[in-house]
This record gives sequence, C-alpha cells and structure tokens, in this order.
Amino acid sequence: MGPLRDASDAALAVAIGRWREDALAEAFRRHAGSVYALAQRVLRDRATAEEIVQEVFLRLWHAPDRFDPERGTMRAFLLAQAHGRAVDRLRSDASRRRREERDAVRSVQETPDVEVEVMDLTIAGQLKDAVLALPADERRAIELAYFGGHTYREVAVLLAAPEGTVKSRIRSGLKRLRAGLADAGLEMVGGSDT
Amino acid sequence: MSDVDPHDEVQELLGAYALDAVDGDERERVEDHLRECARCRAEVAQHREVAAQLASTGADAPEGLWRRIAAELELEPGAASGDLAAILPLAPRPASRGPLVGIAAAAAAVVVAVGVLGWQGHHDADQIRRLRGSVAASGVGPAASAALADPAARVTVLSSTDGRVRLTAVVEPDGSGYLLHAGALPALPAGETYQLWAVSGAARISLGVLGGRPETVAFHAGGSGVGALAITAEHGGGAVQPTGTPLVTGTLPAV
Repeated sequence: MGPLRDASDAALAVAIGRWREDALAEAFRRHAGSVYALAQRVLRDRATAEEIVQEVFLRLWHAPDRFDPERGTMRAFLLAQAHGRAVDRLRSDASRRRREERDAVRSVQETPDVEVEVMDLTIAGQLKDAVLALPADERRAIELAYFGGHTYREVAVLLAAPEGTVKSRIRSGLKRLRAGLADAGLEMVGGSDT
Repeated sequence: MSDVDPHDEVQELLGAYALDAVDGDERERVEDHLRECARCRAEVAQHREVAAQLASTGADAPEGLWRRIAAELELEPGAASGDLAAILPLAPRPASRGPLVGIAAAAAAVVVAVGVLGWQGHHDADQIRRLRGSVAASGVGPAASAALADPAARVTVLSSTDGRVRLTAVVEPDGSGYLLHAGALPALPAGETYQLWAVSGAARISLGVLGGRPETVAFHAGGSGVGALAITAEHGGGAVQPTGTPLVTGTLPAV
C-alpha cells in the first residue's frame, strides 16, 4: 500500500475510485471528526449526526468523482455535504416544529449567546483572531445560519434585522474571514479571488 | 425587481447559499446561475472553504462509526445475495477498474482485489462458511476438507477484478494449501495452462502449474510471508515469472 497518510486529497480520491477501502478509511480519519461535529452542532442529535457521517462517507465511496480537487478541499466538500443534509433534516416538518418551539422559548427568555450556535473559540489562533476581528453582527449572522441551520430570513427574524441586511452580512462576513485568514498566512484554496 | 441585474441579485445570495441558508426557490435560482457563471462558482467554493475552517475540529468521530461504515461497504445489495451474476451490474467505474496490463500491474491488481474483496467480504464470508459446511458433499479431498475445518488455516477467495470468477484457497499453518472449485476458471485453449503464484512483497513465486482445466489443486505455499495468491494463464509448461495480468487474486488474512 502507498503512503496514504501523506496522500493529497486528489490522490486519495483516485484511490477511493479504485475501491481501496484503506483510502476511504484515511479520508474518514482526517475528516470524520469535523463532519460529525458539524452535523451534531446543527442537529443537536448524536444519532442523526452519526447517520449523516455514514451517508457522506458512503456517498464518497460510491461517487468519488463528485469531489473535484480543482474546486476545493475534500474537507470543505464533505462538510458542505454534511451541512446540506443536516439542514434538510432540520427543515423537514417535524423537526422544524420542535425547533421553532425551542427558538420561541429562547427569544422569550432572551438567553444570551452561550449556546451551541456560537463559534468555538478554542479553535486555532489565526482562525480565532480572524473570527474575533469580525463585526459582531456579521459574526452572529454567520453563526445562526451555519451552526444554527437557519435560513437568512429566519436569521433576520431572530436578530430583528432586515432580510437584505442579513443576506449582505453573511456574505461580507465570509469575505472578511477569508481575507483575515489569508492575512494571517493561512492558505485558502477554492478558486482565485476576483 | 425589474431594475435589478439578475447577476447582482444572485451574487448577494452567494454567502447565504454557501451556508445552505436560502429557501428552496432561491436555491434553484442560484444554482441556475452557477451553471453559467464560473466567477460565482468560485465565490461559493471560497465561502465553503471558509465555513470548513470554522467547522474544523481536532476531535475524532464517535467510537465505532468507522466499523459501521466499513460494514456497509460489505453489505452492498447483490454482493450478499450469493448470486455472482447479481454482482456484475454493481461493478461501476469501468475506467478505474478496467483490465490492467503488464507484469508491473500485478501488484496493482492485488491491491484492486483487496478493494473488491472488502466490498464483497460479506459474500466471501458466506461462501467460506458454506464451503466449510458442505465440504464432504462437494467432492473435495479429505486433506482439503480437513484444512477447511482447521480454524488456524487461512482462507481467502480469489476473485477476478469484475467478481465474475471466484474460487477459494485454504492454506494451513504448515504451508500446505488447497485450491477449491478451481473449475470456476474457464477452460483454456490447448497449449496454455493456469499457473498459481504466491505474492510475497514484491516477489512472485510459482506454486505450480495447474493445467488448462484445473479442479481441486494441492500446493505448498511456504511460510507465513505469503500475503496473497494469484493465478495467471501462461503458455505451455508455465513461466518463471508471471507474463500476464493475474486473472484472479486473493489476499490471505495475516497470520
């Protein structure tokens, strides 16, 4: 077997395309922790989060060509898949109802932002700096959308801000984070800046 | 709305879209646009990389999750059915699993077979179990029968890369081995013979010439260094080194 531990995303995808189970295992070793953590954070449900990890990696096994190394990292690809699935589940009727009840309770109590939706500031230093450098309203909009699994319209309601404003904050916040990470020397892939 | 450039309007949504924070119809609108606009596709990709940074954690996945996924790989529909024909439509990706050419490819073929076996492992386990249970009836000699019954023996299924041809090999701890159901190999034209090889690291060691229509075969596989078995078709009296791609390969479980 080749040195899979040092294999690039692209090499790993090729090996998975050749039915090498050890290559899938290596992709799992590298990314499954983050994939699980994201799904768990969005859904707040361990069993469903585990289900999503399974789905995402089985899909990688069966359709590795869906991952295009030219367009981004395998981690971003897997996380986007997991996030999409988590959000789909969240927006299915039953869970949506439960969710809305929870949110109603929360807004009545005006609970401070100490919940799961808040970004994890135990993250690595450069990322932490970039996150902390974000204007608070941009950061909050991203948190609620990404970790809370809300649509920007829902975020607008939660933050009592106009929809258009929230939409812009999410986009400008993501751009600001990217610039901050680049300034800090963290190489960002995924297409060149325009 | 008629005054708004549709490109600008969609652009404003790209951040929310990348975080799955748009409604269904907005999503469709964005995706329609992305199909035509490389610049916006690049922006979405960038947003997703940033999001991935936010979501990255050093934590491991829950205990046991990989084992469950690996088990799913083995439980593909068809693979567990016991019907070899049912496996064939499940052999996608012909480009990456097509015929391998040349001696240098032999090692790669073994690697491919490992993947295939992982995928069909459940089926193999069934086949081995069935064989172990019906050895007397299947006309295998008493020595092979005893080897199959020995829990210390290593058993593997040699399979072609397309899963079409499968036979079982059993190797006793002392190296005596038996190839069962070798009749699964298609009969060769006159002047050609099957040859069995032990794969030990980079080395290919001949274990014997099997003839053009082998049945049950006894061989001696040497020590525990043999990691895999392979069968090639060779001309005449066989070859010193395999001259063709292995037709079937099987990895022996580690001792």
